Amino acid sequence: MKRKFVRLLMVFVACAAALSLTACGGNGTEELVSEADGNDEDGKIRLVFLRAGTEPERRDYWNSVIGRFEEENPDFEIEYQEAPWGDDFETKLNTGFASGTAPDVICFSMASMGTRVPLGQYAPLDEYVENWDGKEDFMENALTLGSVNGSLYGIAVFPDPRMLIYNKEMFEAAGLDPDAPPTNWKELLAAHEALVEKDGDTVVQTGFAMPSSGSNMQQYYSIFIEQNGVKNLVDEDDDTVLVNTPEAVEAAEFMKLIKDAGTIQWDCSTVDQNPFGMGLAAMTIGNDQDFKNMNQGDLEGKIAMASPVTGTKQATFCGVTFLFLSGETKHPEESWKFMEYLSSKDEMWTRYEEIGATPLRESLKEDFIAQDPQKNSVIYESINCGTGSPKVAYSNSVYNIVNSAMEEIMYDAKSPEDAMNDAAKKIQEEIDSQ
Amino acid sequence: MPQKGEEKERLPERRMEENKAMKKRKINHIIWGICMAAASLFMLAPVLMMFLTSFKSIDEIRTAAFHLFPRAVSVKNYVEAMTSGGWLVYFRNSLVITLAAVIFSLLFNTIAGYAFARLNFRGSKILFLLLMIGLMMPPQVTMLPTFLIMAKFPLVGGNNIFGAGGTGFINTYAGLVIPLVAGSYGVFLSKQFYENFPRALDEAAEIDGANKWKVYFTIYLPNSKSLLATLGLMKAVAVWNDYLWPLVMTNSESKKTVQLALTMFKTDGYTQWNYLMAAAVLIVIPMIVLFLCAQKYFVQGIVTSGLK
Repeated sequence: MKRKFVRLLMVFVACAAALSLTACGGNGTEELVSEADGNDEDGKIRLVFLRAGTEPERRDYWNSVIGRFEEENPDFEIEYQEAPWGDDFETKLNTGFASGTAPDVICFSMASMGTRVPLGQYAPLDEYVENWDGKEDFMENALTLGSVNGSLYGIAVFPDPRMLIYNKEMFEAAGLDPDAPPTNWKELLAAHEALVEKDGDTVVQTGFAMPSSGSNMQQYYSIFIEQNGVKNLVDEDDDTVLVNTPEAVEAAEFMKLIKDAGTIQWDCSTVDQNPFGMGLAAMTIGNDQDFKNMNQGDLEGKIAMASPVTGTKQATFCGVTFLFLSGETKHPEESWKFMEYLSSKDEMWTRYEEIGATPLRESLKEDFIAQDPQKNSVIYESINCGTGSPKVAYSNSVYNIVNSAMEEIMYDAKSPEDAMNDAAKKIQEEIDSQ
Repeated sequence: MPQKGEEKERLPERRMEENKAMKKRKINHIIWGICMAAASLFMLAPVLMMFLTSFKSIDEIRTAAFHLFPRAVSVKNYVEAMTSGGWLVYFRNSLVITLAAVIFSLLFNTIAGYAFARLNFRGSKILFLLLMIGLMMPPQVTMLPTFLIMAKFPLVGGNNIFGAGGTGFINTYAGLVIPLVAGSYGVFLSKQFYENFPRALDEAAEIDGANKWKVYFTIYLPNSKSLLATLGLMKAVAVWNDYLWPLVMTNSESKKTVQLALTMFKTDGYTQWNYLMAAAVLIVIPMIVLFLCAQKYFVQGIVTSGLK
């Protein structure tokens, strides 16, 4: 009797394993059976929303907005999911798309468009946006940043522009006007030189916190080349490499000038190592969150935010977190409805009040600036002149190559021109291998 | 033949030589001790840093001048870290998953190891070879296929008989535990361990009428304390510290493990080191306690399995 039961159990387990293996083989089996339509037994539309980041404050915000949406739309049920930024989020998304369990709405970075749009994992939003009353009110650059080849894929939700942050007290001590931060390269270099303090050959205080290595060197480089009139590290429209154009090399030479005038070496992979935060540098580039984090402890009340400086034009790096519609969702219309709700004027303002996200509607601009005129006008200005990561599938390779090239420049291993020419060759090889 | 008088004369010399040798041994012992202490300190340095940083304020961590010891010892970081998020739930989840994985893996691995060591069946060598191939396979390679099997498992989580329509084992304890219950390394270690058992035990038990299951449960299993401690400890540490599998398998707070929860202190480019270190200290404590309890058997198990 026992043996019979064990045999039966083994046969069942083997059958289940075999069936699960066959089910993994793509759509073959799935075509034989009707897929669930994503609706619960009670007829509710069930959507999955996955966002990048695991901070508790933002989780609380998302749960509250989902609650508000469900209350206004009782037919909907939104399942909130989250995963840490970076490779972890990519892994989570990859497994979701590979297994047919991808979320319906995804909140992730601009850089992800480069790989996921060509794969069809993000759906174009043009047909939904066409009749959307929020389109005209949305900040133009925010819509541009969410587009690839003229089609809109992402609705901006958290803009993250980089601005100039400076230490007023240090400016004053160096005989500089604390209310007149540098506005162009010439002034930046002059202020930097005036602020550098040395003990023998050792720099004990620097002006501009120029990093010497790290995974974000490419962000610094893209800021300076764009301020010198270069479109981006590569032109995403026609895959032209731009890192070694004369203007880009000039920007690299300017960065080297700052370095040679005296800097404290630091790795920009994490903000924590920035000498500005330690009170050893008078200027740095950072976002709103960096400003909030640095404006604590010894630096509290001593630092201010200023608009990005100008080379031949005003420009900065503006990372953006977008809402994307999954290319595999069974509920595109309903998912858009949820995205539309998240991008509504009221919700945008609530988001600002609850977690400090800059509202991206023109109609909210005045109210937003009125909250903190000096800081918030700088944020708006930076979003307007900001450019993000190149939306190409090989963007990670571009970052790594540029990071290495910048390191070579900063450590005098190569001249800016040689380093960027070599980098351009490597990027071209990468493009050719795509 | 040396005379008695000569022997008497040589006695102090011998003693001196013995004393010298003893001194040399002592010096060697001290040098060896110092080397080991230095190596231990080197290994423990990151843990020590973690512990000391957990008491520092974020301003103190960020300051340019490095101080090993915190200015003032305060448990504020611990309190604030543990009150952000549902840490009781995260600890409960990690505990449940680890316990279940350890219990089931010990059972399956030792049974399989016993079968490979003691049962003569057709294809055992090929099967064992296949198992060894599994040892060389990095978990990243098998992660996606395993995930698909879990997601498409029939008649589970809303799936139909063909494994479609639902979410299978995704976001369930079963989904977190099942892929971890058997492993090539555990089976290999068990086989090595059981091969050291005298065959006479099996023969005596068979004469007494015991079948293979009885032999395993009444003779082999009770004599496997060191093996169970070794395997159990290794599995517990691996499951408790696992990050990637819970990351892809879970999608809600209710199933989050402690390792996943640590990421709440790290945003894109900014880390709250004070809270991260405080939470990390609390997370390693169960594993340290477990290791201290099983240390004696752990070393014994490694040695008797022929693995060094």
